Amino acid sequence: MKLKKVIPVMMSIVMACSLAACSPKAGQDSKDNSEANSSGQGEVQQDDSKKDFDVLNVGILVSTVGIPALYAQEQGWFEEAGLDVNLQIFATGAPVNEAIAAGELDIACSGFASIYSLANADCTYLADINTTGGMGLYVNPDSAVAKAGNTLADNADIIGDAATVKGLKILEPLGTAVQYMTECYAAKFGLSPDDIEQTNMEYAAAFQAFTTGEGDAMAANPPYSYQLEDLGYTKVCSFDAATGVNMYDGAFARNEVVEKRSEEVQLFVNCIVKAMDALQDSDVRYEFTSQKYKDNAQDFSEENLKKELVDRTYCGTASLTSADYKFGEAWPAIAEFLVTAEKITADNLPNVESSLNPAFVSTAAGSEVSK
Amino acid sequence: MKKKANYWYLSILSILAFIFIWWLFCDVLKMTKESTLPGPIKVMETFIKKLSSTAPDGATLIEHIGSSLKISMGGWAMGVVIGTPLGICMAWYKKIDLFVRPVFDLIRPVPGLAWIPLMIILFGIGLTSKIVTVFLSAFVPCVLNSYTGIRQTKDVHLWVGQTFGASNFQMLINIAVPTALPLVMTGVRVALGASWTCIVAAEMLASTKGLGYMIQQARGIFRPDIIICGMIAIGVIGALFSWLLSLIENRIVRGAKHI
Amino acid sequence: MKNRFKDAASYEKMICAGISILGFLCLWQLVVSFTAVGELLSGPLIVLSKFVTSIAEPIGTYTIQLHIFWSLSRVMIGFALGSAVGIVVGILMGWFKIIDAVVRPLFEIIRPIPPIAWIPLSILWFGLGEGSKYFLIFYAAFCGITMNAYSGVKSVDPVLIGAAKMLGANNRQVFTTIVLPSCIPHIFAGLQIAIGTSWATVVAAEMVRSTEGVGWMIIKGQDSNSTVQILVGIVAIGIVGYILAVSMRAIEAKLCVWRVRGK
Repeated sequence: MKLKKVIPVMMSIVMACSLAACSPKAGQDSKDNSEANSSGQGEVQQDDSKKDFDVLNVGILVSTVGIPALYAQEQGWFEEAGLDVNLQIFATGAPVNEAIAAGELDIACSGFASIYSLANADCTYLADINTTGGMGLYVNPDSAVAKAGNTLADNADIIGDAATVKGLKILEPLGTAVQYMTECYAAKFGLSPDDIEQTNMEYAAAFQAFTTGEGDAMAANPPYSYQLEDLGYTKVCSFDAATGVNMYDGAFARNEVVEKRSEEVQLFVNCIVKAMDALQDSDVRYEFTSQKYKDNAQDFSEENLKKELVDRTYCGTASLTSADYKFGEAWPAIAEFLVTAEKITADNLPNVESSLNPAFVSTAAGSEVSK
Repeated sequence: MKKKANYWYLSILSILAFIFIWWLFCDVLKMTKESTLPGPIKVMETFIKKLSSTAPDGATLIEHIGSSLKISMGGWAMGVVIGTPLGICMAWYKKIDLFVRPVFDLIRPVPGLAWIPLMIILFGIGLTSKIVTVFLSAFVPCVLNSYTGIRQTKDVHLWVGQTFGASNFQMLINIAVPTALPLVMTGVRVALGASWTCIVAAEMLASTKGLGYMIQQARGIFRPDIIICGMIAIGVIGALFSWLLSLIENRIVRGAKHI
Repeated sequence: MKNRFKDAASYEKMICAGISILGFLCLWQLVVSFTAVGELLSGPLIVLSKFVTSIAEPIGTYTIQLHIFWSLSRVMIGFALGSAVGIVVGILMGWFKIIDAVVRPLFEIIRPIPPIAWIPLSILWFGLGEGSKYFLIFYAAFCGITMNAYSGVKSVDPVLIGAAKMLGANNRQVFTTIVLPSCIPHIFAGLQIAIGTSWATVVAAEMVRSTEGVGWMIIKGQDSNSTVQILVGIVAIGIVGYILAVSMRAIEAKLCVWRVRGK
């Protein structure tokens, strides 16, 4: 009788174990494999000099930040350097972070969302790629915010006042640079993020909804910001005016990759810097960018792309070696803001500062780049 | 009675064992990083914290759940109110069946997620478009089940009705609908499950609150603890729903049997 | 009034289907042509002609039939795995009380979680490749089938089991000769539902990251505000889903002849 009672209990435990073990274990296995692989690669790479590098998985966005990597690949520079680069295209920065966390990507060229990887995922910031001009917060010219005009004595570029901004319904993709801009904008009037209503939408959907009369404001990125300007919407602030930081989109890598495959990372950064130098020629850049945007069904018009070229410049050798350039200077400021917004925990804040590593770009540019 | 107690005992044990294994893998053996798969303790902590804290997505867990419930209940109610009569009409009136069925069959396989872009265009970004997205997945089981239910009516019963001079409509109300009731109820229950499952998709459409929104926001900012919290909340509430409705269903169906 | 629910003749069905679909398209066209919706939404003519031309002209890197093929291959692999596992788990759960007690609560909690909510974890576990897409579809199919196989076993007529036992059948014989055959219709109903849900999950699965497939067409269409592409994707999903459902029904009719006859 006793045995009869014990057997089902035992069985249940065994069953539950096997069931429970099933899912996490499967993931575990695959991860173990990939780790085993990459460490294996590390060994191989030390024996041989060139050409034996294993696949380097690089995640990019189809925007200004991804273009240098695409250009370097098209020119065959990765191959020349002996790299086997596999470029993977993502729509936004959030899945890039997931892929980095899962160990699926070794290096990423991404935007604002990179900050979360730098803070949480043992990553190293390798290089600034492009400036991030052209972002802005737009409202209808007839709206109360637009009519309030400039009310801040210390900042002539910002329109609105506390009374009109409070409760504003703003359409924007959350977790991106524009959210940071919007919250800084609200903070200029002493408002907290809870005082405004931020609605999460991708740029394209937000643009469509906003232009058909939904919401009170849209925080936009090129090319949508240019399109909104063309349609006569009022820009109440720009990214620079609201945040006061000089942000760059950039490239970062997992620490594990930086440690075990530093030679490859260096070669990759060299190629990117070389591509950024080549893309300083605006005709070359225009031609290549429009081609790539077209291939990936990215929405753009000729004029707007030209504006983007002016607003977003590449951080090539010339900028790197200039005296007033400071590597990754915006990230610690942004991270501090995100701590107050409770998106990053305070314990992780020092990770951002320590993740900035100018050594690779210094080598690529041939001169010491300071933090 | 004794068997019943045994059953619950094992069920609780199995959930505990699941949590134990998870804890073993994540917290004791440290086989995963906290930024990829946190252990149950961390998730539990987040869960408790999230009940009162609005970080990092601007609303507490309770507010998220409330918002999701509002959307799914709205879509479900709409699905039941429109779907059930439609299914009954399709089964009873052959002409309606012949004309509605083909369009219904073509629209049915398209998931709520695919409708999202169109919903923004047609219904804007407010509550309506989310409710309509949920409605689209809730209404299918209502139609199908009430359709099958009506079709189960025995011809003999109808002949009896006809002999006593019942009109077509009287036969529908007094004979066919009571016959169909158990299956209609099943449809209502399945629809509730479907509408709850659909909220994550619906909330990808311009939202500021909701469990699906919470999960989406936690992606990419290295908060898998919040994602898992959200998944567990969805799972537990969904299980509660189906349990509650099967209780109600048993009541009504038993009632129907007695009549 | 001999037999109220007799099916219409097939030619009649075809004609009515044609009329109703045409009517639907006309209505769509009218709404688009004469109301403000037309500024945002494309009409059926544009969508259908785009659908037809994309057989030759690629959308993205593939033509439409290749997109459909990609999506179908993902669905079929996930569906096959999901239904195999689901049938076994469902039957075991239905037959053995202990397994029911142990697995059921976990299953009931996991079941309401939609596939999209699994995307973040599936990326962590299976990466960005096909693995996570198979997993999501597997999960969708598994949930549907397990429930049906379970209720199939549970709904076996207890009188039959009692009779068999009285005639001296042991547990295993009861299981193989009575329970299994009588839950086959339920399993087929489950397969019918699961093929539908698996196909519907393809959009979620292709949100993981993809460069092809009908789900990709919709997602990319949304990114670039192309309602034509979104609608072409929706039309493709609708048509293929319909074909899958019809062929599943045909397979069922072939394999379970006794059931159809019995009706």
